[in-house]
Amino acid sequence: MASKAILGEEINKETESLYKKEKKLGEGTYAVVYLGHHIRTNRKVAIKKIKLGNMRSGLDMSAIREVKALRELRHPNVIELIDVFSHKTNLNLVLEFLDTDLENVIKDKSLVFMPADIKSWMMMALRGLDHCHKCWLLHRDLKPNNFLIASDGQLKLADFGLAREFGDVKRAMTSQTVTRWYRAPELLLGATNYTGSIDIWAMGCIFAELSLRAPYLPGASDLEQLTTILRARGTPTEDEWPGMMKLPTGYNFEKFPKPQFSDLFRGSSEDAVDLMNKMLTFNPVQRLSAADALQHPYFRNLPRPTAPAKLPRPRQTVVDEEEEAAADANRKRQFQEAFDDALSATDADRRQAVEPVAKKMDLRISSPA
Amino acid sequence: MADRPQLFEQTSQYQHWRFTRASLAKLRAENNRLGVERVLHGLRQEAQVGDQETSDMRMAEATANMLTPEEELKLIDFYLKMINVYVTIYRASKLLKPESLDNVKATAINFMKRFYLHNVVFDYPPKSIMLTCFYLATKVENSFMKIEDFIRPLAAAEAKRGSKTQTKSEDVLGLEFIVIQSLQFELAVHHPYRAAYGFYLDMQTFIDEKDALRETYDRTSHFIDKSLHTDLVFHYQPSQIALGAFKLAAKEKDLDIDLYLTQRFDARSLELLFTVLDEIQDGITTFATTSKEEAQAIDLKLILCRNPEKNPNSTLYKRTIAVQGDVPYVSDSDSD
Repeated sequence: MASKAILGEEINKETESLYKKEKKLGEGTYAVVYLGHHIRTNRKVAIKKIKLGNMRSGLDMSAIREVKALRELRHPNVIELIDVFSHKTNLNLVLEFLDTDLENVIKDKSLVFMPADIKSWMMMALRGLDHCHKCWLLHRDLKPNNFLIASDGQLKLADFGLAREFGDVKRAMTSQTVTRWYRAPELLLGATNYTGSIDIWAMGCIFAELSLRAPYLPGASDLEQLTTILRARGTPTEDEWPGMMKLPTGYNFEKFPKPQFSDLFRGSSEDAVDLMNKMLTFNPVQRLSAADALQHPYFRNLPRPTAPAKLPRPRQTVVDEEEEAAADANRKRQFQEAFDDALSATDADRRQAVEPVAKKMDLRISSPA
Repeated sequence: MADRPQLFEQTSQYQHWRFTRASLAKLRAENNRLGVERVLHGLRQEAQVGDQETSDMRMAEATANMLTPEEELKLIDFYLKMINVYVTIYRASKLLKPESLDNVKATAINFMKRFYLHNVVFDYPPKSIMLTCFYLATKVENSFMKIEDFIRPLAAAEAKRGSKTQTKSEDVLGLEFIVIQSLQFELAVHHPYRAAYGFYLDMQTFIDEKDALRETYDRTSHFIDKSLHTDLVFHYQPSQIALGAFKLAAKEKDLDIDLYLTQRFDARSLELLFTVLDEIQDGITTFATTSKEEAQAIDLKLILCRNPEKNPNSTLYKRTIAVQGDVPYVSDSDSD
């Protein structure tokens, strides 16, 4: 082409022509992911095609949030959104290709984690998160399977379908966010004004999960989640968390004693347990920020974090695609109604209202309690 | 001013939506020129499916009434102002919360301004694009409402006016992809409102006249509102526009904020800053909006020079659709 395209439609077509889809990697209710490549450079990419077939109100909020957030973020520990194009009424996100995720790593019992490995993952995760928070963006859905892992071992924060900007105290945000086991206590108490500290709580849970090789706070229901937290962490006093009772659903909680954390985290060093406790502080104001966490002695003390390329990773598993597709079709049918309802709820996230699905998929290890 | 890259410099707004006055004018002129070519091409196509006499007449009419880049801008400006009207409608019907009004409005206006850097009014008249930009802005600014809720107040207003046309949800949603692709899928937009609030807080440590400062800050949003309609957003950063608006408000309220600026910035930065602020104040005060009469006159011309390839009411468009088979808005069978 002689001159640079001006028209939106032409630019879109040009972008589309840069990539070739190869095969389907997976299908969910919301998107299909393809393996593909950049035709000229042969770079391997993942193309996430967001289906809008059932969206009565056009582009849905998750798609908007994901595109809005990822278009602004550039960091080695955040998944790269290389391009976006639309085809008919499908939205296609061209993402860097990443072959596994932290959940797969944790679940693979044949892998042994050294303390230095955990430190390396935590460092990469916190760096990615710190970048988001510096850009005034909350992720709001941190959990092991949203941390993807590149072939060189780099950990990348992904799935920004619930992400939003924060910092404007006048604008209320929903407390119905973050997958339950990783949900901060202030959210469970109905806070509609919160900060990056909700993501830090989730990071603290992931830190514990990496050490325990099992979810740390697996509440069986939303109601029980808070009890699970209080039992594990001890009920905070008014001094520890002033204003706790003033939150929308604050009430007088059963008083659980503070347990000895070193008993549970026997394999962890003292500095690791200290950092974990500071990330799982009840009072969100006192909870460490991502930047502060990265300055914690844990990251300066020995052992040094493992080089990303040397981190343990699961052997490539061949997924039975047919079986997955059948299970998926079933899920789709079952929860279609939930989806429709969710769409109509104002300021509630679609994925939150279909929580049963998410939960079902998340139940990898039954609650130890 | 620090030499390391500022946070704002990493945003898509800074990287892709910043122009000099000359490059902006050049882009618009080129866009318009190519748009005119497409209209003529479309009319020639239509001539092949229609009868010769009508075609010749249509061609002559279109050529005589072709809009200039300036006329395009004037028309767009008129519909940008409509966004302010619609915001109040949705606020009254409680579909938008008061605290999200500024952002929704500013984002909608910005989307529309960006849209017409990559499109022309011949292809997509601003009236319908405005609604799609508005609806998309509600989503982007975390103020989602169902499409039915979005349409209802519009329909009510149309009925009240006794308007012949009635906006349907397809009119809004059908253009959503056209709009979002023209925005290059870059949806995060930064506005001067928050920056102005930040300056207001910061100024309190330097300025003693608290009441005057409060009044000045309150008045600042009026000038920010005005700035949204100008091209300033393509030339300056939100914080600079906020400060320019602050200066205009301060002038009205007889408050000296230069005292604050001299304490906050060194002499060299200040010299640069004052030039920028002067340009911004100028841009806000000299901006002339389009009157209803002007807009109506341009709209009448536009009827004659629309691109038939994009006009759902044209013979050419209907013929193309009939040949291709109607592409349904929702396509589940898409198998690529």
